[in-house]
Amino acid sequence: MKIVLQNLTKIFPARDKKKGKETIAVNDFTFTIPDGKLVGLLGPSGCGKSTTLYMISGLQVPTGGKIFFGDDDVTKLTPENRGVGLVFQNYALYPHMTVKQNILFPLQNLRGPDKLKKKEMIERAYEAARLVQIDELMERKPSELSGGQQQRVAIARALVKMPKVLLLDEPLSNLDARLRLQTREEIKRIQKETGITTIFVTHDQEEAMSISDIIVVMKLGVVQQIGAPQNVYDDPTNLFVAKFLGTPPINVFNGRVEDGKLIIGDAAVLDVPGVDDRDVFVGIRPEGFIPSDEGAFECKLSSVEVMGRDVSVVCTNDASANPFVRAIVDADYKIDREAETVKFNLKPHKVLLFDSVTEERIRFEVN
Amino acid sequence: MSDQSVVALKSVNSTVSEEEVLALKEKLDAKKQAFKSEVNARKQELADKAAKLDGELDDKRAKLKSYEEKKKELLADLKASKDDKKKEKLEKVEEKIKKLQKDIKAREKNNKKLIKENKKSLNKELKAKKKEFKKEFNPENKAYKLGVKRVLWEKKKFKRKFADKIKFDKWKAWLYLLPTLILLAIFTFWPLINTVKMAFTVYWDPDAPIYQYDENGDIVTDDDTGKKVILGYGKYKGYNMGLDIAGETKFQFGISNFTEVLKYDGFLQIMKNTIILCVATVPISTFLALLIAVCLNAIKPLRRFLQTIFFMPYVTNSIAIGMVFAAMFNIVGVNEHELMLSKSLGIINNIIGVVGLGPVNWINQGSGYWANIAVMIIYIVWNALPFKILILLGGLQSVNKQYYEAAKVDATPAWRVFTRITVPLLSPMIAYVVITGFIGGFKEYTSIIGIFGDKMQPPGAATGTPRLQTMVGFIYEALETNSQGLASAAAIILFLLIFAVTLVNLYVSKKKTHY
Repeated sequence: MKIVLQNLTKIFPARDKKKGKETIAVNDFTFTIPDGKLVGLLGPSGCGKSTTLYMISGLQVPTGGKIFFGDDDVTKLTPENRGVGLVFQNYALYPHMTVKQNILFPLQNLRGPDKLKKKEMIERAYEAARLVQIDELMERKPSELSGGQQQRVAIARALVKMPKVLLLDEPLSNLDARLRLQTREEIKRIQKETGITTIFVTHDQEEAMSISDIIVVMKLGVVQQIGAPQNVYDDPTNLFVAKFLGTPPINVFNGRVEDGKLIIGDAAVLDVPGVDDRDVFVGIRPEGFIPSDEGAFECKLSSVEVMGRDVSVVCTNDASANPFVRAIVDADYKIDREAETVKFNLKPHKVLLFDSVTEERIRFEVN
Repeated sequence: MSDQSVVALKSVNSTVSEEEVLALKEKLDAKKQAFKSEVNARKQELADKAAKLDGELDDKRAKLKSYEEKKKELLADLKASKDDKKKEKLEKVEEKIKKLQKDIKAREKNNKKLIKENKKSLNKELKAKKKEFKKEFNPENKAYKLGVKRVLWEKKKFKRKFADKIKFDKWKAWLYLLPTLILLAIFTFWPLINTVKMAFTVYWDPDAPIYQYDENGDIVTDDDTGKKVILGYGKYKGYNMGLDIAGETKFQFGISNFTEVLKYDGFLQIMKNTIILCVATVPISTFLALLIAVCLNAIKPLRRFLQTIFFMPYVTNSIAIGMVFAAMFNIVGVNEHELMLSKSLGIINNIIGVVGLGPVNWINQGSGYWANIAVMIIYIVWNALPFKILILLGGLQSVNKQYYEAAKVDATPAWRVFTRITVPLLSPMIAYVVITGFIGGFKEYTSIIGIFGDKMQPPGAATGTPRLQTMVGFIYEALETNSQGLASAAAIILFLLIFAVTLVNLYVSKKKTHY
């Protein structure tokens, strides 16, 4: 089922009416989530991604705008009538019930024509449990499970009533790094197997990029960019999105454009045809550097970190907005560790220009 | 270990390490062993010598034996044929035998003498050796013993250093506890012990009449005189502090305090009141408190205000509340005629009159037992609510809100949320409230005084055991009549009752509570 968000807005009133300012958690969010896709809402904390999720679930009422599930307007509908499955950040498994009772709980709530026989309920509970591979833990209490197992129980509980939409609120934040990698693959697999439209919230860009079909980058309640992870990474619309995506993060320099040439410091490093003369922020992805003796871009070498397949060259440049510039180059390039400076050529499509005032993207033609 | 360290050991001010002393011990042990083996060798030498001499003697003896056998042979031959040659031979053999016998005798004597002498010289030699050994060994041994002593002493000193500290800490802990302990001892432990003591103390009253009882347990009275029939005199009576202070009375161990309580006319009535007031009020008040707490938790505006209102009874004197309740249930007028004339039926009767119920004589003269109990239950429940609401509301506010959000998303009906989520998550608090409620409920007393006064029954009710008497009331009454033994026994019976019920409560809550 596709989900349509139309001018969705949420404003939290100020707690102290005289002094405080109201908080705009989500500002005019319009987006159509296609059926059966896995969508990641991504942004730093306080950007309104969780609020968006809770508005879709119905636990929070939007201040303005509309939400459609398919063609039905569900804006006024209470959560119990929306048919969504929600997995909370800390899972909210009922501690006094066994795994089985937890999974059965939503089914036992069904009334009227949807009401199930006991046998059917148990069959469906086991079906959901098998999907997330916890059918052997059915008699345990949540306190006897590991974090990853609890998370799966929470997913099974959300899936068992066959929701039209599955919502996950920071589902991996309570897991350790290893389990996180494993579980995010699991989420991807479950989503593919069930084909349920899934929205999940995260502040970890790596997590979002790795499993989402579409990512939505938000900042202070405003959607910055929506798109496939690779597109958003390669072609960010503004400096915030460029900085937020990618590990290691993008290198940002103060530069200017003169006569169609990009100048960082005093060196003209790249041809940028079709850009007017002006001051710009230059974002260069770490993989956008090619070491070369004739390179135009020169930096002072600080250290070289070997990572096996790649080499991470850490250097400094006066024009850099960050203390260090990090370039990731292929291990085939031999870097002289004793040298004082290192010279690079730049890959044009890894160099991104942004307006120095609005921080909006300035596009140029790449040959 | 060198000799210097041995010398050092002897000096008073030196310190020794345990290793040094152990090394010395090893050395001394080796010396001892060497000496012993030397002595043994010498002794063995002597024994060998003796054995050799004995061996020589044995050889001679064997020879003698062979000669004697030859002689016997020759004698037998001679008998057969008298031959001079043979005779000569025999004489020769006899001569040889005689010679040998002489030799053996001499040797035996000699050997004994030799061994004796040898032994003597060996002993002398060993004695001298021993003396020499001791001369060398003893000082070292002494030093060793001294070293051991010193090491032990040093160890002890070390221990003592710490022991002092530990002792001091313990002592300090007791010092800090002392004020509380003194208060506890005076106001808790001593009364407890004394209660048990008094409960089992009785005296023999030779003048106490023994009445005759019929099959109903009533005292038989003489038909003519109307006096109680007395079968005889003398029985055990319970502890009485007045008599104890006056002296002269001899008290002894006995259980008649308990039998007296159990045989007491109104005992069943008392137990009935106590148990009804407890068992009826605790579930009602707990359930109501739970509902009110859930409702309070659900609303946002006015919550603080309402919380304060609900908590008011807790900080108000229960006698004062009882008087207000008495006024609410009171009817002005004492008989039916006056009742009909009176407009003042009390606020409760006016309220239930609106829905067409009747005026009920709740607490006045001529009121029924169950009407009295109903008023008591309403009052006790109302009085018990605030504390329970407070505890349960606190519990509710600590429940993670996400459980309710999860239930909401799963379209859980409100009643199911209450029974399947709220109650299980609150179960530790509910268990606490129920257990303390039962304990308090069995001690009901002031509430009855509050409504009915210290007569503990409506005016005009039958004399004898007050109609609404409870165990605690009974205890107070017994104390007033200087029957401390009876009161103590009743207190212990009440304690055992509460204890048993609490055990049941704990057992049930252990099974049903989710922590």
